[in-house]
Amino acid sequence: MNNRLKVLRAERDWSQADLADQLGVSRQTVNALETGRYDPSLPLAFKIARTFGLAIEDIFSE
Amino acid sequence: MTASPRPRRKMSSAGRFWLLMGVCLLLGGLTGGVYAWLEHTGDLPGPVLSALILFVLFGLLIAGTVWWWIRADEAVREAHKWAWYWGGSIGMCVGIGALMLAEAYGGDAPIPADATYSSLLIAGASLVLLPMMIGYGVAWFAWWISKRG
Repeated sequence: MNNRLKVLRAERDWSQADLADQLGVSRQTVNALETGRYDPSLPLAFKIARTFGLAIEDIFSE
Repeated sequence: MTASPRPRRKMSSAGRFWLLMGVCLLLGGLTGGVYAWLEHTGDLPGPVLSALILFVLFGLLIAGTVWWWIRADEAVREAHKWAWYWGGSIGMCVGIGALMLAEAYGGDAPIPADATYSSLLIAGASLVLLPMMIGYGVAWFAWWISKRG
């Protein structure tokens, strides 16, 4: 699954650690998500969408 | 939906991990040290009291791992579950294979003169546990490496 996490984070000038803090996950998890090699659970995907103020489909795509 | 402000920093996942490892090391080291000292003085407690002490000690350690697991995020948990299944299972196969080979080809080998019942028991258990622990560590590391950019 592809995602725009890295771009969205960069637009807000957040580090991976900043985003990890907001999501309540580790920085390594944010890194794994950004590479697209780890797909988040539905609750985490919703949390990510809430954090960026976007809909899930605006962040994740097949 | 609106963007959230930056929250204040809490203890990181790695920080919690190393805190737990430190507490485990401290409790284990303290218990081992006290037992070594008691053995030296000849005041070693009986097996029932020792079992009770171990029960409390491992209870504390398990409580610590529960504290850590509840706070671990889903990827951290996934890495451990993956490592447990693949690393642990493959490690167990290696260990059991080693035991089968030892049984088939080393059954008539003489037991070392200084071996005790407990030392042989520990050697046998280590033959299975060690590959499992190594497998777990390798699989955990491989999982994280495979997710890196």
